[in-house]
Amino acid sequence: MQIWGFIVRRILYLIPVLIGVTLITFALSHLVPGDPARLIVGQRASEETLERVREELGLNKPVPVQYISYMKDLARGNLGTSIRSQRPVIQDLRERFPASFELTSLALLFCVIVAVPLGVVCAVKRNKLVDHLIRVFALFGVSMPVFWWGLILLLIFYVILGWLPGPGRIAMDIAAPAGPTGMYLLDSLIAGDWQAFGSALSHIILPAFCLSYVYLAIMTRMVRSSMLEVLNQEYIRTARANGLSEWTIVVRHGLRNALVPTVTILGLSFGELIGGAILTEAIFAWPGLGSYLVESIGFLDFPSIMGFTILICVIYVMVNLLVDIAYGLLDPQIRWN
Amino acid sequence: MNAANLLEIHGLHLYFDTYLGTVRAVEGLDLTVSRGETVGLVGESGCGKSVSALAILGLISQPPGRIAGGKILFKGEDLLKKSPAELRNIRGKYISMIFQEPMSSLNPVYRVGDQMVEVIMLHRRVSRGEARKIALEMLHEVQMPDPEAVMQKYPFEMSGGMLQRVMIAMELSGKPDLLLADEPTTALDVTVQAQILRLMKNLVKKMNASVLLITHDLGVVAQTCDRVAVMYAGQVVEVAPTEELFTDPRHPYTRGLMGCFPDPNRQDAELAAIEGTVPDLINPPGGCRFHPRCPRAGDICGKEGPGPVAISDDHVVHCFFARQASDDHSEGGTGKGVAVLG
Ligand SMILES: Nc1ncnc2c1ncn2[C@@H]1O[C@H](COP(=O)(O)OP(=O)(O)O)[C@@H](O)[C@H]1O
Ligand SMILES: [Mg+2]
Repeated sequence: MQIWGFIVRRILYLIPVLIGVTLITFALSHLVPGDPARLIVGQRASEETLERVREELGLNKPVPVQYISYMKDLARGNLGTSIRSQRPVIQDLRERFPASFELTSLALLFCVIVAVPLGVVCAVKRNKLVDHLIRVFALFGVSMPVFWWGLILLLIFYVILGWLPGPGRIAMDIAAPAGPTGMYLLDSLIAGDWQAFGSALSHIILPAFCLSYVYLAIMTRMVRSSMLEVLNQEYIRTARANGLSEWTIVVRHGLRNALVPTVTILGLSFGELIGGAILTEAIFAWPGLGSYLVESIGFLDFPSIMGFTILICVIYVMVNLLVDIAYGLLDPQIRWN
Repeated sequence: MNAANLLEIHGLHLYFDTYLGTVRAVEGLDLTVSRGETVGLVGESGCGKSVSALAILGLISQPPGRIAGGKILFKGEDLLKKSPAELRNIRGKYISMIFQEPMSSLNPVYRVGDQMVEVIMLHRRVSRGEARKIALEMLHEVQMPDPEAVMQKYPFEMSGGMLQRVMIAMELSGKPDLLLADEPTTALDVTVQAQILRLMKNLVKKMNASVLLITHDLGVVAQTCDRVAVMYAGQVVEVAPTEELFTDPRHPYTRGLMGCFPDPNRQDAELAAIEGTVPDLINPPGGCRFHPRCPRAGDICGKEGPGPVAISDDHVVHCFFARQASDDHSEGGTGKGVAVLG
């Protein structure tokens, strides 16, 4: 099957990309900020201590040698030790990642479920009342900053109405589900712990919605415009001339073609959100990667910041791979080239 | 309505409302196609051939399009009065259409075979397996080498000529009464054009389907059509049996076209040049729409539109001077102008 060949080729393309990424992070961590050893030991440490740390870190070796040992460390998952927590950075990240992953996935899932149908409706009912209403709704999403939504939603649903819980991932008096994934929704499902599941779900609704709104708006507009373009294509006219129903034309012949650009946006959004949900995570006290970055910057915790950077790069690269594969599945022409 | 007539278009007016004004693309079009007959529709690019064909299937999007009058009778029933659901049932099953660009007429993300099967299942109410069998048969009918393999291909893996065969196979699979072919060979290599045309002609004859063949190529007309309607600026100006049109063209516009194409056995003439430019369809010339370019125009031509003049039973011309048959066929075709058929 060509699709497998296509996937393997895409994975092979990743190798140079990942080497490029590590070169940049290496340059950032070893060359740019002057002296990482000084950062670790602090301003008042003696020269000897500094020398010793330098030697420990291999900073006195030639640059290529340093890069190789850097790569070896990376391959072993060794991202250094966090200055703030005094634990391996990888351990910190592993703890924070599931929260972000869960939030981002849910936000984008929600986004797709809402934006794709809305975009299609807009395109089909172009310039009719529904189209205008949906576009106003979308415009609203793009124009309002995330923190505004976050605060307003908290105010309404938590403070005033009391329908939903406040910040955090799960109620204080409920034990976080211990599970393999670190994602509360999934773990509580696996454990069959409905109480934990309900609490986790009610906690994640507001931040997920808040996070998704901007992207939902962008994606609705994207689906609308690519759908409009596709519906003007000659093969759509053929489908009409063949007497296919409007539903078949729009969904089977139109949407599949219109989804290709949408998948790109989805992939980019995921990469952006997973580490970039900084405001949302801050407002909802969500212990994810975004808030980890904020805390690390506040502490000048250089190894943590670099570890975060590498993780985000890797996620970006992976998401791009998935986007490419999705392209290949959606559009056979892409897997040929 | 004459029972032998499968399709009768009476006084069709088709406008497009644009921000520049109303484009009066088709103004009083009359056309008939009888059972088993192939009628050619010729005229310069932009004269309204394609939109007329699309109107038959109800495929003019409104807005910007607007049917401002007329009737399109198919088997005696007015297609313009049909509901969307009724029209859908007619499309592809009783009337089907082939377009100019085979490369973009099929959906790029589905296999050719699946697209054929989808249409066959819709119109013949058969199982998937049977639909596949019919698709293979039809591909065989259009002399497609290795139909099994073709079914598995995506459109972008095939040449234009092969795709047009697929389109013909697909559009004839529902055994339609009428096939609308809008410049079906224009986008193809010259060497392939004749093949495709011959194949279409034979298959249509075998199925006893009627054809409305839109073309700008008088060679195609001579080779394929029983009758020809010559269109100018949204109106049919002359209709005649093919042979008669070539031997005795009466409308100055038809003569202009012939001027560059005197011999029906010659097939290489694609361009015809007539002095003047194609009229602006937002403000079309009053009276006869051709009069500003007409070498023969008199005072009356700018004032009134000429009614139909019957030269014989099936030769009708819209010209005040139609009866003054001239032997001089060269007057229109001076070769200086810019009009290009298409
Ligand atoms: N959607 C549209 N909006 C405005 N004008 C149109 C539209 N479609 C067709 N027309 C106009 O209608 C006229 C006839 O077009 P068409 O039928 O495509 O010509 P052709 O004889 O070359 O097939 C042209 O003048 C064209 O500009
Ligand atoms: Mg055309």
